Amino acid sequence: MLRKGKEEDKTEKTIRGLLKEPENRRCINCNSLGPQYVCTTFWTFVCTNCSGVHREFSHRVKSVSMAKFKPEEISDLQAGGNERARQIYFKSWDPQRNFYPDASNLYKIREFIRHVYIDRKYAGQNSYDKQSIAKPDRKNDSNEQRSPDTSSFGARDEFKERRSFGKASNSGRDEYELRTFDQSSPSKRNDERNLKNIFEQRSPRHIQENVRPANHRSRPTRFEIVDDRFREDGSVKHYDRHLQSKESKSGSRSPGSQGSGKTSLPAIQPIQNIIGDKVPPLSIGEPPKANNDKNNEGTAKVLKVANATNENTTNEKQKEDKPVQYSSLIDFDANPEPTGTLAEPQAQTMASNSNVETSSAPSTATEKATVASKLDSVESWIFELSAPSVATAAPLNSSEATNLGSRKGPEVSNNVGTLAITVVENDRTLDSNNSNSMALVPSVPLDQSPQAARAGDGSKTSGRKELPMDLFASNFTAFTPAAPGWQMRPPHGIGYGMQFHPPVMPMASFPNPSKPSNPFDIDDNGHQVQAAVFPSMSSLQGAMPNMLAATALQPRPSHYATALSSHVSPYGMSMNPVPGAYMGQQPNNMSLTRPQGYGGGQDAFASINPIQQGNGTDSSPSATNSPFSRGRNPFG
Amino acid sequence: MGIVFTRLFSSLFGNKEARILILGLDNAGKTTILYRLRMGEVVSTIPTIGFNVETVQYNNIKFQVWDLGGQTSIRPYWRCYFPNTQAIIYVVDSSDTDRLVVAKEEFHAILEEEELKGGVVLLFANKQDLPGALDDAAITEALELHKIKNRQWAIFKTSAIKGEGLFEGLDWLSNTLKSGGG
Repeated sequence: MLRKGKEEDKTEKTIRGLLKEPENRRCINCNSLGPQYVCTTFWTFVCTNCSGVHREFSHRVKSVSMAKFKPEEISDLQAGGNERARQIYFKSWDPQRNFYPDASNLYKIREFIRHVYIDRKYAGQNSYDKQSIAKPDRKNDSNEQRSPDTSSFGARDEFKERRSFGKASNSGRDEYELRTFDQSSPSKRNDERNLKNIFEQRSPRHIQENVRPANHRSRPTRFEIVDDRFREDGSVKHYDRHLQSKESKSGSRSPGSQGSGKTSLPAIQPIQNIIGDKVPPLSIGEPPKANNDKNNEGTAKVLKVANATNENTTNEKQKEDKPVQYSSLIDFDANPEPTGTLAEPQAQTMASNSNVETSSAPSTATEKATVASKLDSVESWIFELSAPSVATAAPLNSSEATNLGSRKGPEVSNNVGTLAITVVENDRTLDSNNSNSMALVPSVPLDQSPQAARAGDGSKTSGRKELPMDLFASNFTAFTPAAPGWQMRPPHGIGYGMQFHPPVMPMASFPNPSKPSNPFDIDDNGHQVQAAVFPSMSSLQGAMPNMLAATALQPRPSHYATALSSHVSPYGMSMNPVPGAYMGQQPNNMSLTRPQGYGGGQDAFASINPIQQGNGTDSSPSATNSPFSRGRNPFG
Repeated sequence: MGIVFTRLFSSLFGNKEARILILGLDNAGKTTILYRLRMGEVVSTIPTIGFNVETVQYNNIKFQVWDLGGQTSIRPYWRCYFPNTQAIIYVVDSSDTDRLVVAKEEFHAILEEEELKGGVVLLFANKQDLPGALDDAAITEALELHKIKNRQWAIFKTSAIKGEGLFEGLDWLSNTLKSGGG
């Protein structure tokens, strides 16, 4: 008995000694003074309230004063303690952003303990959770859900972000999902860790981005969509930095990426390259045909449908327009508008998406963003550079975009493929505008045309031109991965549905409000827009007249090819574009169906992301990928 | 007058009163069971220091239920509550297999108490909602309930969180007490 008494005294002394250590003086959970309980599951010192909550989670709890500890428990407790537990469960805990739960609020304590010990939210695996108070959980969820194997971080990040946005609307859901995901996360911890840095860097940016949309948002409804874009853009930017460093090592995928490294100045060069491409495209005419054929095969149905709807008229117009386009381009050159140029990149991306999809501006906008995010780091760089311009352009475009959105889409795609094509498209757009009686349309073509002219001149349009190029490439790349899987099925039905949306596109380009606007616009403009889009598709298909368009498009691939030194790229591009279009359509449909822009964007992204991952794995970032991405652009 | 009337009323309708102790190791779910019986809902609890007491009316029996803290150092104080106790509810954490031995020792120590010789014993194999929880048969085996002599006892699988099995046990208890056990 005496021995026992001595041992008990000894153990009690040890525990009391442990309690005097600074880390153990306060409850690890609620930071209240004088914890009287030991959670023997984690070997932490907790207060009475927290001990009760721990018991709810079937964690073992012992009272310091009213329980008896075995010697092994004492040694475990000495090895553990609050300091050690903090290193494990509070690894990513940021005292600046995270707060201890109110010791008197059992509900909050319960939530806190669940986050810390059950979800292990701060255990370091999900470090990004910290990033933003508003959206930390969602990001984690998305990350966790995603497979770690994706080759491109950008795609992941975007995906995550989008998901988070969608979830943001449903905070309750998010938490729930997070929990489940977190539990399953452990296997993906490594991946997540890699992402941690990215996320951390992002976090501030994200916040900024989020703020931006608010400023731009003229309409509440659009607001959501805008956020997605911005986020994506922002995410892309972040990625770009990271990716660039990494990718540069592996070798930039696309020449555009190199240009991006140059920053604003490089942008000019790419444009020149584009111009140069234009010339070669004419000679290269044949390769584009092959691309067209491929496209026709992959998306033959879609194209057919588009053709059927638009019929020969669209094709004919395209052919006719081509010569006209050149002239128009020249005119445009005369009218170089800075704002227009700034807006152009976005518009182009929008247009490319719309073309690929054959319409649906809002969806395209979201897609663009996703694509951009998905794009390689280089592309992301470009985006970063252009980001300010984009922001400025977004507002500008918004007014134009609403009317022009559908029109722009074709134009942009043409620009990407070749300036001449862009001209033709512009003409088409003009026609469509006329039919639609859109006042804004003309202004849009002008903006685009100036870019084309500049590109041809190769003198001044450096920053702007580059941005569009990058944007296109990025968009295409992003689409291509997603497209392959998705392209075939949804495109037809969805694409048609999407076409109706194009009028919304302009809206989307702006902020998100496109959806609300879509319903209205769709009825009026939907058909017209479709027609415009379809022509572009038909040209891509490889019809004789189409060949011209294809050639025009080819130039870009050729540029890429030159950079990449692979002809395959153009083909891949051609192929990809179609899928991208499909993809775009799907997302668009999604957005349309769903009231919330975010949700739709997320879905689209989600669908795209898996594909992208697959693409990334299949084709390493090498030249093949870049061509695909580029090819996509021209088609888009 | 009120008291007289109450007594008359209770005698007419056979109301009985019973003093019941809820015992068991710490974190077995004693307090949760008490308030589940009393209020029909799950309350968030903290480790009980001292006791909780509530009255529960069930099957015309007014149970005065004492829930005593189960931590090691305060188990010796259980004996302070033994006098005039008609029944013991012994709660076992069915998922805490590590401490089943301790639970067995404590249980048999209680049975040895002179002041509880006449009391009936109701065992709750609690926390059946948790994965890995032993069923009533396994608990019976682990606690060596077959060693119980000269005493009425029963064991029920319960989940205080889900509210399962508690009132079945109370049914048994009330019937046993009515039949002269108490």
